[in-house]
Amino acid sequence: MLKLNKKIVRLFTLATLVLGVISLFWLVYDYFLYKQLKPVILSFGELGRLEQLAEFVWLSYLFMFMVHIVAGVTLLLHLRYFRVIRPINIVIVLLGITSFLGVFSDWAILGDISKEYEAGWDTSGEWPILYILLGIHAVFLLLLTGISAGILRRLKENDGEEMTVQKDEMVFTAAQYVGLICGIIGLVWSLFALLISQRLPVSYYHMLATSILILIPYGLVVLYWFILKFNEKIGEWYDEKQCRDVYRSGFMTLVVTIPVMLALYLVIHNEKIFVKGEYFWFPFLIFTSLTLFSVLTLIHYKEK
Amino acid sequence: MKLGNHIRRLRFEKGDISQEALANGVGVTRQTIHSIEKGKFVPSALLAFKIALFFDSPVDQVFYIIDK
Repeated sequence: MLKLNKKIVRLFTLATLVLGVISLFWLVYDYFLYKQLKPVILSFGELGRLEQLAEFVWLSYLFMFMVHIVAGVTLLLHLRYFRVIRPINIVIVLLGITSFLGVFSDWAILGDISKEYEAGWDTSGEWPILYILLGIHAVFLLLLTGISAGILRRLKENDGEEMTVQKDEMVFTAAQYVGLICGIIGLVWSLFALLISQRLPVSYYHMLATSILILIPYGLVVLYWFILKFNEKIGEWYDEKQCRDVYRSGFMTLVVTIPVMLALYLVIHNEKIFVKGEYFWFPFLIFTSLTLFSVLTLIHYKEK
Repeated sequence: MKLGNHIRRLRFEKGDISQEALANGVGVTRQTIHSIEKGKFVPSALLAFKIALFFDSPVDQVFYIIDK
């Protein structure tokens, strides 16, 4: 188990606070730029100087992407240090994942707007989504900076004894929460894409790329957990109750996913119903398994 | 048959030991100690001995069988 000291927590929290504040300024920049760009693009006018200013928008999203990664590590460090999961932690993880995925949606939408503007197509449908995503980023960053500032103060006030925990349960629990959130987002996305694909073409690559993106936050938490466990023997990764909970959840997930996937198989390959779903079974299986496994592990683990 | 235990009483008798401190002492998570205390999880023989050793008591004074 890697040792966690207060200096590391303080350093990451301070970095998150500073980066969060800078990101908020970037958001303000993006907002005012969109406000100027929108009427010009909708009327197919000349962008002029705005074109150069718009280049910085890409930079702002690249910066935000990095902020989300740092924020993720910081939030995990907070969980490990304070060893408490409060509702606010779950809210910020939920918002953080949505905002993180939003950064990629922003990239995609901005790319679409740029291409459609050049092709002379209407982009009025894209702008509201862009503004909603800006709002989500803003709420997340405000909450993140507020929590970071509060934790810096707590760290300053509380110079008490630090306890090294032999078996850390916080990252284990956090991984289940993140798995549950990513699983649900992925399921909603898969079902939405399945519905859309009945009328519009949804490419295989699009489906694959989006599924991978949705899994990134879960992958990062699991990677962090692996780093923590790197020096331990595999048999010591879980304590015996965690082991039992993981086995039970894994078995129940298997039992539930088989009939669900059988139903999907029958629907996809039934000529009378004819649902176009050849791209969806694998993401659907992954997200169903992840959701079930995470929720069942949480239920078993928290069983009182 | 169920397995009962005196872990909670022993924690207080031996000087207000927290669940976390006991968990650290025997190498499990706090949640595991909590579940054992509540009778929701039956520990392995090894863990039962570790807990007894932590309290410096024989195993049968920490754990007992509830006949039902």
